[in-house]
Amino acid sequence: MNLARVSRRIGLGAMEEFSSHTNIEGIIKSSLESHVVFKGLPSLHGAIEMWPSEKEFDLNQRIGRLVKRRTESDAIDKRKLSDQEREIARELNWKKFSVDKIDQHRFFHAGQYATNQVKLRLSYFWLNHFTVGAKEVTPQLISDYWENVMLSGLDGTFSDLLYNAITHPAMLTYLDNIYNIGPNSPKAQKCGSKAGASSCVVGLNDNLGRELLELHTVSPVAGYSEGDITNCAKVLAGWGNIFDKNSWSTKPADFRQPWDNNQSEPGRKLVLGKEIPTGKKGLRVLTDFLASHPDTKRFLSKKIITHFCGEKYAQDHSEQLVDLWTKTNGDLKELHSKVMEMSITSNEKVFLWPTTWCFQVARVTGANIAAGFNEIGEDNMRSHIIDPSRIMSEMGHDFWAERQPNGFSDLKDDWISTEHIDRRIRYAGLLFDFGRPEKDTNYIINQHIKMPALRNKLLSIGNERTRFIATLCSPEMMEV
Amino acid sequence: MIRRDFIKAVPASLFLTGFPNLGFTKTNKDGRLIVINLEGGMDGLCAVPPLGDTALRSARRDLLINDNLSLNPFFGLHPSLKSFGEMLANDEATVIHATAFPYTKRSHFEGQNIVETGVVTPFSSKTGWLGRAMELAGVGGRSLSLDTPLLVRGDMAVEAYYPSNMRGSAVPNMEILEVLKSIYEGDALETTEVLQQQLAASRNAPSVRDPEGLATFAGKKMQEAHGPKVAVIRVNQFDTHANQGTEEGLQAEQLEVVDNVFAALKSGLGKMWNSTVVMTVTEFGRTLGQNGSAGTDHGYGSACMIAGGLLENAGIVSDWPGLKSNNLYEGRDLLATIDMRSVCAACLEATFGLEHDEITEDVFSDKAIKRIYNEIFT
Repeated sequence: MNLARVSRRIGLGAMEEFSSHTNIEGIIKSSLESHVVFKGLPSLHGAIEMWPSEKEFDLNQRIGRLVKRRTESDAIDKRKLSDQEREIARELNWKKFSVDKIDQHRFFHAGQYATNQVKLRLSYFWLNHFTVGAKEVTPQLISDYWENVMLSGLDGTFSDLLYNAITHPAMLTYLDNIYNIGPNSPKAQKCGSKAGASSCVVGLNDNLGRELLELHTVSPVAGYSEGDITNCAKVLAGWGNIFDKNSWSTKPADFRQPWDNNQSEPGRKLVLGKEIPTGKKGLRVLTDFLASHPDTKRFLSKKIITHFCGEKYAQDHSEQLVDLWTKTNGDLKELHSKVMEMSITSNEKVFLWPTTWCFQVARVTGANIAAGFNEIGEDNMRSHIIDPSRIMSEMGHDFWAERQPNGFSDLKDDWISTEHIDRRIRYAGLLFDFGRPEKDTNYIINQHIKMPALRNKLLSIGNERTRFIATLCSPEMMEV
Repeated sequence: MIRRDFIKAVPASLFLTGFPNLGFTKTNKDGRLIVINLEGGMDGLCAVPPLGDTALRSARRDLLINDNLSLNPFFGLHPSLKSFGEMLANDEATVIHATAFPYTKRSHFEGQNIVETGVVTPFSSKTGWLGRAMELAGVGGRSLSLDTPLLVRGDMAVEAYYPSNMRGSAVPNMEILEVLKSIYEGDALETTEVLQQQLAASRNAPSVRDPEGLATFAGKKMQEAHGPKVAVIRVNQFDTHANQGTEEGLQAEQLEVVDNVFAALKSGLGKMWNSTVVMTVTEFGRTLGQNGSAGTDHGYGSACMIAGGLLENAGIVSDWPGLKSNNLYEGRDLLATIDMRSVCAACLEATFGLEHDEITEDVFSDKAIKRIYNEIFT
């Protein structure tokens, strides 16, 4: 067993995490059955510690902060201040209650130091599949969504994962479902002739309904109609009411329990021929139906195999996963176990996402340039402390960034560009110059570069810095 | 539906008279082509509202704009598009209205794929229509974003330009690039070669990253004798499902970005503007009616904005289908009566001097695409 390859193929390059195992099955089984332990560095060159609990926030705290940020901001608007004073007060208020920067540090440090690299890799895949990003309040909720929907969801079924993703406030805000109100809902009825006017805003918003079919489940091959999309939107109407009267809510309960019968659409709804009941339970009926739809199984089997095993391999092997999906009713542990096995079996090269590469090269070299958890907000050019959010955004691969709901591509063709190569060279250079690599470059080459010609070429480079950068940016490190 | 002849509506005289026409020679085919990709589905009924169509007012009561710029008795122009309006007044811009690529299923990702590949079956091509046309004409390009847009992908290397803001990092040195070239193959090798040339040529490039700054930079590079001849600029956030806004708001802000991009390109290009065509593309337009959240959902037909010195006369090119419910596509969307591939073909003809027939055959693989070069460029 080539541990270096296995750790980079299905994990984040931490060979030591697997070293007590003698076979692949053992590695996969123990990874899928244990939890992720969050760790990080307190400062740039500190020693690894448990991630501090005061820098973690549950959903209630997040929503509490959002509500507070909003009420304080309203109060600032009412105060007698000059324009400049108001601007500063607003900015300070925003910073005081926002947690996304802390979350990005935690995410990045987890990539470099947390245990359970296999589950982390799987969680990135699902976080990307159910993409959310920068839009209004969503960034404050992404970390909770990642941890409590994606990471926790790895232990359950796809049906649960789907339902939990769609009903999380991160998704409901990101894809506008907070604005999706049944045109015949009790709220609309009450509006009477004023329904639809600015004093009584009601009506469908099909953004989430459309992506639920197109991106999250069956995909366009299912041949659904515009009517199916509209009916999905009707089923979703009532989910995500974070408003209090016509304004933004100050009641955390509205975020936590995002169902509001008053905004739901009554009447018969058929989606791809399936009758969906009215009321809150309708959505679960719909997501369960979509989760077990043959087109969903086919679409997702191909997608996850492409991500971990390569595009060509996926074409030839996804039917195997579809069969297992049917046999296990979409049990993710079983499915992931199979995909990990396939990933080791497949000889096709897989291009690594930029942050996956960042995490791998940090673990492989022992170098770090990201700010520690006691240095959040201290992004500083002179002392070379770099904010993880800057690294992720510079790499063009930031899960908090504003982007389209189809997420990041799994295909190499979509990533190779001059700017991406430029960024990787720069990043590797920073690691060498300021990251204090623990491992000797030749050791890294001997561990991770398997093609004799490439290995010899790298070993023959005289300049230490050039050798380090060329190794990290070599085809065997960018693709595995 | 009864086909009507193309209307070549002339903008209001306020914008037209008193400005000299910029001359250009038709034989000069060393043109520059810049595509602004408006991602998310740009609402053409908001950017260039058909104010003379009474159905617009009743369908969009929260989205109406009072101070549109007047183009002619029928069409207005969103107030954010001031520079583009001036270009219309100067006879160096044109609007194509009620147009779309032949795609009616309202998915962003299928739609964007068709906009970029120019192939009507989504995800069936690995190269872009512009990339194929560039190969046919033998020109290289430049893309202003972190990744290489499918639009310009062909067999030739393409430069991407999105400057690094990786603090404290060193510009890749030539020794490292030489080593990487010796260990890369295929796309990575070609890309590294381009990066090397790029770094050698533009060490002092400005480190701007906003669309306007990138547009100015693109314009300046494109006016150089051996500079790139094609650019793609992406402007996103046109997916205005909620709170689309009117004179202000999301749509207004994004249109202003587009307007600034047009202006920055013109100023950056200098004299080269006379040999340039700048065009917008988008995956679809939006529903005629507003939805429940003062926004609009995915639709079909939209508007395409074209500017550049290669245009002779300003105008609105449209075969206006009407907005009454029986004129709408599936009772909800502006019908597209002009195939965007015809518009692209005309722009390729104007800039690269390619023949219409070779464009339809070798770039779009569809010989049925109509030639509308004369409607747009003469």
